[in-house]
Formats: sequence, C-alpha cells, structure tokens
Amino acid sequence: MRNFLNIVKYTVVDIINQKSFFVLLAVSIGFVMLLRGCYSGNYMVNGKSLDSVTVAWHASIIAFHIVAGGVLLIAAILSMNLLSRDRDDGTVQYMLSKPLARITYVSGRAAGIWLVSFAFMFVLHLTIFVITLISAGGAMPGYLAASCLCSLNVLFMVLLVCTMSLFMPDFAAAMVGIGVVAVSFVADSLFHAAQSRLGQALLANHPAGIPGWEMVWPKVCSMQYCAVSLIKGDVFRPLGPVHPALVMGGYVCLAAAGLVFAFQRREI
Amino acid sequence: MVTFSSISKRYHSGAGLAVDNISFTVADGEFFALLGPNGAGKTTLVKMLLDFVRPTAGTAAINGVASTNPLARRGVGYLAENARVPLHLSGRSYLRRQAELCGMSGARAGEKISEVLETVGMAGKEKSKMKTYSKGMLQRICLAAAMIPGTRLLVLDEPASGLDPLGMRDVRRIMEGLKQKGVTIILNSHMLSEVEKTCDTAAIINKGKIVLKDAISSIVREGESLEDVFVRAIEGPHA
Repeated sequence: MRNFLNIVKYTVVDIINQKSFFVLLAVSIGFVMLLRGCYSGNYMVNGKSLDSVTVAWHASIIAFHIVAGGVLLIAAILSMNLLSRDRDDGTVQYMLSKPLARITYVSGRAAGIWLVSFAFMFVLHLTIFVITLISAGGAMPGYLAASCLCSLNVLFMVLLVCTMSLFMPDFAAAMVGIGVVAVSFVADSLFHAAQSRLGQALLANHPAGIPGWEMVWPKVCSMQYCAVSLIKGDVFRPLGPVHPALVMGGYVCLAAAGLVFAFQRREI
Repeated sequence: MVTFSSISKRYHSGAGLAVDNISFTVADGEFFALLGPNGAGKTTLVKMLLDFVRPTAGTAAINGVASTNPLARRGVGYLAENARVPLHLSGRSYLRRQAELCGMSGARAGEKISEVLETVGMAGKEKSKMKTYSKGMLQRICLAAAMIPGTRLLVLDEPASGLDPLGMRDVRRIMEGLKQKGVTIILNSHMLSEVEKTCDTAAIINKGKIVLKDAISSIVREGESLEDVFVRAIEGPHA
C-alpha cells in the first residue's frame, strides 16, 4: 500500500511539474470564467424575459457537460504515453527492480493520472459553482457531487487508454478511447433526446426499440446525464435495464483487469 | 544465493533460444562475471532473474525465493545496460524515489542517499536536474541508485559503459569495496581486463549456452589473459 501511494505521488508530481499542465488549467479556467458574461445579458424566449437564475442554471448545466467531456479528452492525452514514456526513460526498470509487484506499479500509475484528471475537472466545476453562486446568487446543490460521479468516466478513460497503449501505438490508443466515448455520446444523447417531450411527440408514430449493442456499450454520456439529474433533482431514466453507474463500474473493472493482465505478461 | 535452474528463453515462437537450458548458482559474497559476445543471452539471463522477462522453461531464484515473487528483489540493486533515467528529476529526487520504494524514509533515506553519492563521487552535484548531467555523471548516479537497496545482491550490466578511464577505475574501486563488505555481485561486462582484476568466478555464454564456467584463477593459465580464454571459448581452440 505504501509503495502504491508512493507511485501515485510520483505520477502526480511528474504531471504537475510540467508547465504545460498549468497553462492548460489556466486556459480552461479562463474559458469557464467567460461564463460570467452569460449571466448579465437579457434573454427572451417566446416573448418572455428570462431571469438571471434561470439563465445561470442552464448555462451551468451546459458548462458541466462541456467540462466533463473535455476532461475525458485530457485524461486520454495524459494516459496515452504513460507506460511507453516509463519504458523509454527507464522508470519502469528502476521501479520494478525494487520489491514491487507489477500490479502495484501499474495501478499506482493509473490512479495518479486519474487523480490529476479528476482534480482538473473538479477545479473547473468548482469554478462554475462559485461563479453561479456569486453572479446569480443561488447555489446549485448537487453540482460538486455530480462532478465526483463523473470521475468514474475519467477512471474508465484512463484504464481503457492505458490498456490499449500496451497493444497499439500511443496515439491510436487515445483514439480508441475517444472513439468509444464519442459513440456513447451520440447514442446516449439520441436516446435522451427521444425521451424529451419534443422527441416523444416526433417519434409518436415511429416507436423505436433500443439496439442491443447500445444496451451494452459503455454509458459514458448516460453517466453525465445521471450526474446532471443530481443537480436538477430529477428522476433519472437509464437507457436499458441496468443503471449506467453499474455499467460503467463493470467496464472499469474490465479495463482494470485487462490492464493488469496485459502488463503482467509484458516483457520489460 | 542466486540460482538458475534449467532456465530457457525463446522470445518468439519459431525463433531460436536466447537462453538454452542454463543452470548455475552464485554463492553469497561471490563476485560473478557473465561474459559473452553481443546477443549471447547475458542480459536476458539477468532480466529473468529480475522478472523483467518470463522464462520459457526453468526457474530463477534469489535466496530460495522464486524471481516471480517481488520479495525476491528485496535488497537487490540493479544497474541496467545503457541505463536511462527520467531527466526531469534531480539526482537527489531520483535517489529519494529509489530509497522510498525500498521502504526507507526521512532521515534514513537521506543518510543512505548521502552515503551512496559520496561513494560514487557525485556529492554536491545531486541537486541539479539530470538533464544537465554528462553521460559519465548519469552512469554514476545510476550506480548510486543500484547501491541504495542495501545491498544483498548487486546486478550490474555494463557498469563502466560511458565512463572515461578514471571513471572505470572508480567503478572498479567501488565494486571492490562492495565485495569487501560481502555483497554478492553479478557483473555483465565486455571489459575483460577489469573482470580479470576483480571477479572471483566467470561464466562465458555463447548462443544461449554456458561454454565455460569456473574460478578466474582456474581458467586463466600462466602467461595468458582472460581475453585469450574468452576468444578460445567462443571461437574454438584454433582461433
């Protein structure tokens, strides 16, 4: 356990020692700060003026999705060359020549990347939360809890890309991770759009079942909708019979098992 | 004690054996040299001992613990051939990580780091980032890192690589000092003159098989050098 925590610490320190990480974080916070402009405008919908709380509410939900999705991209970029860089700079040899199990090394590395990515997302969500609190004068209960829920998606992305990077070039591994998430976003968003009043009205005469593959595909986007339902206080309607948190939990276990299994067999 | 029992390694199906049914032991406190031409299987043998590479057949063990068990590597130091380091770290941070992974912390780690830095002649230079180090300095810091664990067993793969003659002399002195302390050393090297001066026993490997293994004093006859013995073992008696 001690060595696991040491490796997590080294991973975090190595990432935050890179200037580019802080530049990326500062730019992201800067973009999030631009949200403040949304709260001071006058908005009319169907001839009715919207109050600032309603505007802040909707802007914060949209920003929540953008940040949660964007961080998945960052997690993929951070994870893609994690293991190959360690191989190239001798880190894996110096670590594994110590009395350290391979599972400790690889899980510590993945946990470190996950922790940094999650912290990145949480800081951005916290910034939105504070802006909304200050600009619109209303807190959004559940906003930060929803951010924590989305960390499961980040963990899935880290494990998937790390596993894939053992079998293919780093860039291709990142593309596989991004591709899986992109398909999930398209499929889940279509389902959730179909669940809306407008969607149901449009599809009233053409009821369509959910394809089998969509039931078992990683529910990355559904997890975000589930997280947003925490903010809204809505009842979440999952796509398929299993809750997305359980589906994603299963995929996280699967990706972790794949990573450990593949790394155990790898020659260093 | 290090034991290799009928160990073999084939990297790819259809390829030849990189290591072919090798068995031998290295006694505690012995200074053992693995010699052989490039591609003979020396590094593969060492990697199987450290569980970097899994054998196709046979086993390797350190003090009776199978190499596949991480606990076998307790107190084992390793210097890789053409050792690479994370250049963004300072020498001290690198060594501190090594010490922490060996279970040391705080003052004990600090003392150990200062001790090994002193031994390899890097004291006072450890705060700079390793990207500013020369090749010789990097080799010295890697040697220092290999000495951090204790050390029960030291596995050195070409430790003098990249060093100037003075550096080589220093490495030889360091190894002699470790030998005096009773550390078991397995040395992979092409520097036959250094091996002849320092090692107790040598095994010459060619094409994955041991062709000669004995005490240096027994295999080097009067009036010849280890290089003569090596050439004869690899190319045959008429070379």
